Amino acid sequence: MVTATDAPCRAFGNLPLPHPPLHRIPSTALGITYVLGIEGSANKIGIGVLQYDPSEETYLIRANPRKTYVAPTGHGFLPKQTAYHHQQHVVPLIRAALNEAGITLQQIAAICFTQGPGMGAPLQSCVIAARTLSLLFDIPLMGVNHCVGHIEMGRIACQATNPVVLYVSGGNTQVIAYSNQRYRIFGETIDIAVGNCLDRFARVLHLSNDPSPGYNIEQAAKRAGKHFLELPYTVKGMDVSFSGILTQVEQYAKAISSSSDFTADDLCFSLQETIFAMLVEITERAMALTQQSQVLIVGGVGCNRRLQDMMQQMCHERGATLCAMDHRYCIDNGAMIAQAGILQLQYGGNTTPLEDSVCTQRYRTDQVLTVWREP
Amino acid sequence: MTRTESEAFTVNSDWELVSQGAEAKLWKIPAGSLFDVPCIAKERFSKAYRHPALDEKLTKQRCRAESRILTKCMEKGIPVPRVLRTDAPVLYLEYIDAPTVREYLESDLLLALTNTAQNASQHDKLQQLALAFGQMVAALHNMGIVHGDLTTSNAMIRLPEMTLVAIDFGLAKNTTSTEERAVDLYVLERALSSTHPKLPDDFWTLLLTSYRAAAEKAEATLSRLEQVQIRGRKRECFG
Repeated sequence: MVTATDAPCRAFGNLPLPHPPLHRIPSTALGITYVLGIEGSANKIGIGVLQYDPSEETYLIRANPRKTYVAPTGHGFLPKQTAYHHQQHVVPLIRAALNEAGITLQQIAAICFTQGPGMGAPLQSCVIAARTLSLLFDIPLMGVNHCVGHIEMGRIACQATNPVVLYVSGGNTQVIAYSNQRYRIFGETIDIAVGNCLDRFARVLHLSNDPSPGYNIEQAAKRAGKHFLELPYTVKGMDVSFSGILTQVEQYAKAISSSSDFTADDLCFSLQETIFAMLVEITERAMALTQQSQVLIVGGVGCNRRLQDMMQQMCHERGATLCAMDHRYCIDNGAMIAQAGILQLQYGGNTTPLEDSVCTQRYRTDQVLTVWREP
Repeated sequence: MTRTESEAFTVNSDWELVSQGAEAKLWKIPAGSLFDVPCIAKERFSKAYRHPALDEKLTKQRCRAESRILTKCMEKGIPVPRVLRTDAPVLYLEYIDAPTVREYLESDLLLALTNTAQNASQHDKLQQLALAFGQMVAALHNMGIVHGDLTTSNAMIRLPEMTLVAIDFGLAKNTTSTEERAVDLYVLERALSSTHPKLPDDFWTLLLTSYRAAAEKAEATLSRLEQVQIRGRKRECFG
């Protein structure tokens, strides 16, 4: 079983609150609150320890270790193997996180875990770990929507009060904006996710899954001779579709030979240019519709420099701002789950009773009532 | 009426920039400046973030598609702005002095919903609007046109008679595909729920009922719509 140990997310210093909380749940004599975040909805398992200091009204990531299951080249990560990977790593990671933070489980106010969306078996493995700790140490559980975790960590890390969020990962493609205590989905994919499209194309080209297929496509695109091949461009309102593009680019890939006038690198370049232009376009449409002038990109595909650059250009043309890319919210990790969980806890949201602590593969972003945001 | 010529696009001093959307600027041109009637110049601008080849293709293609489809709608008697001239990437359209459905909903109807005394009459207006919207979509689909971006911002409403004028056909297509029609409705459903979360639940039901009554291939389209909805919602599976 191949695993990659990611460098832990650095604790960047204290981060101020979005606005003062209504409820505070102190868990130590000094009034400092610690929560644990457990994330394992896809091929990464991450444990985060988040601290809230009421005297300064700031959050601080005390520890955020993570392991990634790397599937063999030419394959995707399968639920069974991924779950097994997470089961192997969850206990050592929790130990490592607590050690690094220098606290014990008795000091933890809540265990925040990813309730969904995600792959069933890996989610399940993490929920079982969360429940076990909850019962052993009598700590309340707090179920968190994975997408909301990305958004909240992004908002706090970037000091973005009300951004339009582009959520792009291996399983999700959504344009989200806040309204009336929910993160509303303005646009999304009507078939496969953008990251899935990139991952599957990487498999066709036999690119490595280490560190991620998308990263290797990005590197290939940089080597390309800027030969742009036309691919279908499918935007429907604020929704997008990628399956037709994937089929077309796969057919091009099969036609590569010594006599063809394009290379695999050119295909990576053309694929990126086309699908990222679609994503930037729907983001801009959502901004025009909601009259927002801030953009936050979250999810693994958000690490792509080309996507960042294109979005930056769009923002520049509109007089808007793009929040800087940051691993704390772009790549799955435990601290972001802890962040969304602690907000829920501090603003009077209910903790999750044991019998309700089941996880679900389908959990829409707009199902969460964001009690911590003003109506 | 439509002619295509190639002149550089220049903005006169008496033109007024009325809105800047995601892909086009709308200039209001007073009567007598370019045409006898007041009109709108819709200028699709170039996007620096897009690859130049893709950018040129999209701006021109969308401008021409819009012009072609508006002309077709006009010939078949569907209320749309009249095309005065096409000069890709700029389109000169008849100026329509009416609010968009979104403006109408936000300024008038939904705000008044809290007022119980007016509730009944507002509810009637909402019902009328839902019926008119369903008929508008059905009329387009019956002609083999899929709008591609159905939102409440892309339909204007003439008051008090409540006739809807469909606008913004940049993503529109001539197609008879059931799938495309179903996706068209799906896009509208999503736009309604995200832009107007306070809209009563029966608005969509009523809109579909009116669509079913007016559209020729309603059964096939609506059963495909169910499949599209399932496919769309299934997308929540992964982190």
